[in-house]
Amino acid sequence: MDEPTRFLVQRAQRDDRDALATLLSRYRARVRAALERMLGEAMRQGGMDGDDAAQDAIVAAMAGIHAFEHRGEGSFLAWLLQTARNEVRQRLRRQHTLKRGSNSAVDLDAVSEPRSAEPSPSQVARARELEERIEAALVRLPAAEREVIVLRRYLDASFDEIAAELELPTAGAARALLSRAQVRLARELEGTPG
Amino acid sequence: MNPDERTEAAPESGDDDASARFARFLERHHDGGGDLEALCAEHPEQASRFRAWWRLLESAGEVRPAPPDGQAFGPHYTLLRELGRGAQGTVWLAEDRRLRRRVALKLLPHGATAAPDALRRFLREAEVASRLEHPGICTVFDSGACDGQAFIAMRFVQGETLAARIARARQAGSPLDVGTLLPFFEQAALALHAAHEAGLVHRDVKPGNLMVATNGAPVILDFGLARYVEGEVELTRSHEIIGTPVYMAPEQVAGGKALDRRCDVYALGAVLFECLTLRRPFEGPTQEALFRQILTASLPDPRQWGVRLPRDLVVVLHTALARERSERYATAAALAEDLRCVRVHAPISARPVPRLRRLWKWARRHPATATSVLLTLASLAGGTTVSTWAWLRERAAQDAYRQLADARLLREQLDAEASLYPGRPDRVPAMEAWLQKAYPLRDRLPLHRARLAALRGEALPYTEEEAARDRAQNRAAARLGELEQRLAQQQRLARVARQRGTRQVMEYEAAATGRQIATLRDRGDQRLTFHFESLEQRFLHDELTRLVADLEAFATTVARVEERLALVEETGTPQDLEARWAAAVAAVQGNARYDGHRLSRQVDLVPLGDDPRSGLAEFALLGTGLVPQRGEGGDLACGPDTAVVLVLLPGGRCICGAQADNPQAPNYDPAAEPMEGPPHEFFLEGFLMGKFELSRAQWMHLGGSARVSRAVVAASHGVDESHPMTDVSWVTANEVLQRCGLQLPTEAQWEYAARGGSSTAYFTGDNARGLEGHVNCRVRAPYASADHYLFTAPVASMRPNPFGLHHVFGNAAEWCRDGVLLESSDRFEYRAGDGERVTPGEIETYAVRGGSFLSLARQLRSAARGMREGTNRFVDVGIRVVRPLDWPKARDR
Repeated sequence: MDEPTRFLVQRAQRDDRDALATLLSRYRARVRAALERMLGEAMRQGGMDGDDAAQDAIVAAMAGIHAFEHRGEGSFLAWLLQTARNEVRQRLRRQHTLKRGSNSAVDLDAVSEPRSAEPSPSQVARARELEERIEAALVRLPAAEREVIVLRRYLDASFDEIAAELELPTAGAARALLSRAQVRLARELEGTPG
Repeated sequence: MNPDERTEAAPESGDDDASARFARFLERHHDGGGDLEALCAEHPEQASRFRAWWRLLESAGEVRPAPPDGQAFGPHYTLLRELGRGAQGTVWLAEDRRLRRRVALKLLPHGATAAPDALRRFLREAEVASRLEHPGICTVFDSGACDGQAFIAMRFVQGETLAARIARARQAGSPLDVGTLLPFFEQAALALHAAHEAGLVHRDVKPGNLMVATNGAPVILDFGLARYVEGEVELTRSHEIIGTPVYMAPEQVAGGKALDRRCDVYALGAVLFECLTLRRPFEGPTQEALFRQILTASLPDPRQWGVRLPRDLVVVLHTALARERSERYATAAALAEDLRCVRVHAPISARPVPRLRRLWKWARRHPATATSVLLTLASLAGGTTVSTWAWLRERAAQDAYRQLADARLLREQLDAEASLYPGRPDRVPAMEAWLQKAYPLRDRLPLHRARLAALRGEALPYTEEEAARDRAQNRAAARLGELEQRLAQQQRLARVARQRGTRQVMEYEAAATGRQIATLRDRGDQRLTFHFESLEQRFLHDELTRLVADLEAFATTVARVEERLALVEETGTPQDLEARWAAAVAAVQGNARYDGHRLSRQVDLVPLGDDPRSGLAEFALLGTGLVPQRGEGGDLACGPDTAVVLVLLPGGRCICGAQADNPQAPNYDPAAEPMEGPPHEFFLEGFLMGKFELSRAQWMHLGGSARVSRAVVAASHGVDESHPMTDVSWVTANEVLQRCGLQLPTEAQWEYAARGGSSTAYFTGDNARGLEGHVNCRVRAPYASADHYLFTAPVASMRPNPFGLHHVFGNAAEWCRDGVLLESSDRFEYRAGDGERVTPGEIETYAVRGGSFLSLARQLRSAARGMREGTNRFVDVGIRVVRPLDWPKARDR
């Protein structure tokens, strides 16, 4: 078995570089893919190389690992994705500020969008709106429920992986947690009519 | 749901039931079941709520819009039932209504559909795959997107995956049948080849992608998906790496190279390996460890698990799984052909790599290995853009590499060293090459020590319990207790012996034990337990601890090879070796003592001519010291550096043992003890026996450890390297001698040699007085007045027996090969040729003959026998070597 993430994180927070490298190796590909999925379009519009930008963001997030608090239920992976995503957004904003006035303005609102196959403008708008509602709803969920949805939704984690990540005893427990989280998500979405 | 969460989850009471119910339904849904309509029917009052939630989650992409059975998909498919579900989507059995044929319909997860590039690439690949027509490849009929859902329709293959087969075999604990596997893999390789020829590399060959159709034939699934997976959805790729990297070729793991068909050859080989052994070729506790295994470890030998495979099949596996792809089968067709050859018992094209060449190749591959490990760690640790991490990557990679490489190099060096005994002129190049590799390895010990110390610095604090447990478990401590007990016993026995004026051996033994105790006391308080937070640290710590200990021992090995090399170079080979051998062969043939036997030339012996007194031919063993010269009287001039001298004994009839019952019968001796009889008649073949007891110097040249004897040497004044090696166990003696092609004598050989043709109690007659000048024993006057030795005497001192052998009696007693059971000699059978006693069961005690410097006269009789435990060392027991001789069998006599 791999060393639990929690211990690696603790070591990494003590500036143990081997631990940092291990964490990076464990999560890099996955977070990069999730970032690509969430922000790929925006990054390309912003003239960034998606791969490099994601990479930089992950490393920057890692550098702030001291800010991560492991409360026992929190997912390091979800935190990493969140932090890296913020990092990308900040960079896009900076770039946007630099380029303001030029013709290549970035559509900042596109930043949080998933892409669909051959989307029509109205589809794009609807999808963007839904995604905004989902994000708003996620913010209101308890941490563990938010994270289980993030893990499943953006990081495509299996139930086994979710269980390991959130330190749940079994995949079944992960499934139960996700189901509860989704009910609450549905109720939150219900409360914010689109 | 636990109560806490319920409180947290349900601000509006009354919704609790609905939420909980719907959550349970979602759980079933995520488990592949869950029927929304059934739920609604069961709770009509909440049905609208449930439907609303479902729609919301469906539109948010949180749940699968799972089409119920029998539902139409697209314009012309009817979904019949779900066949399976995986990271790449769901596979349904569906009917193509246009053609009324059943197809396997793969629906991709909508996450993948969301990316237009991915979809385009996927469709292109599906298109390529659809052009492949081969019975061994699952044909793609149709592909596209329908209602935003990408799909592939492909041939529906009835059967099961190889993964399921393997799982069943594992459960049953019996590997799959080789006779069935060979044709299966042959066909699978041909199918792969067809795809390769069409320009398609699978890249994800694994048991889950190999169907065993109902007719037993292979069908390869998921063609083209692999590239799609790798090209776009890294997410899925990372799943793959966690799930099935065991079948990945090293270049796939290392990255950085364009993959070609040979990665499929490798993967197919890995799957075959697993089918044959039910084990993966490489495994590791962590992903990183597994990658390192794939990149650096050598393929395990299936025989180590008791799996018996045809030799050629093992060669095929090695070739398919070669780390360097240039050494693999160039095409899958070549692999298929060799599998066919194995099946029909024809010669295969692949050749096994000889052991030495493999070693050399590995050494040559160092840079390559370093690079690929570095590359892998680099790609794991952050790719090319993270320049700030470069130093870290480099350091980690170098450390890991150095450690792995050295552990492996060390094993190989130790293996190789075993073939360098004894040092001989023809082995000089091999020894030099060995040292060239050994020096850098040995010199990296401080580096590994430093790293181990650093690692131990990171260990969790040492607790009192651990310290207590360590003290209890410390092998040194346990041994210390044992030794203290032994010392007390030895001192008691020594006291008794002194009072009776008998055996002094216990005094020596007690002194040696005392010194051992002193050494061990220093090691008693060592910390043995180190706990770490991470498994990786623990793994690294275990590996490093072993490596450091092994390297410490290795320094001695290096020194010994150096010594042997120096010895060979100093002593060299006599210039006149050819002439000597010609003379020796002629002399042996003309020597009546040898009864017309012919001696062929022996590569490691130097003829020394006949001993003028015994009339027997003598030889020096190369690589064990200086070749001695004959002096004027025909005596050999021997010193501490002299090589082992062997006397060619003709063998023949010999009666061994003694009896005290019948003065008229052979070997009558009134002093004979029951265990010496009845006398037994042997017909021995000729053999070579040490003219002298093995000296301490010679023992070291043969590769024995000198450390063993140091305590005794220090304890005994006047003992130097020319004295016999004692204090060595039967077990160790056998190990060292065997490596050099030598043996201990059998009791029959020993007694025949010791008697030197006599049948009297002593080789000098029936009176012990005759031994004077011949033996170093405990009783001086009147038998051995020339003996001034308190301990052993130099091996070449005093007068020899009729065969020219020195100190067969007294000095050091001599281990014999046979085990001893206290039963009459006629209860046993004896092997023809060397007369080795056939003893049943496990033997712990072995014969010791000839008495020692501690012996009384009666113990110096030719038939006198002693016995000692084979695993113990004794200060008065040494070694006289025998070298078996390959010469024409003795004629009937």
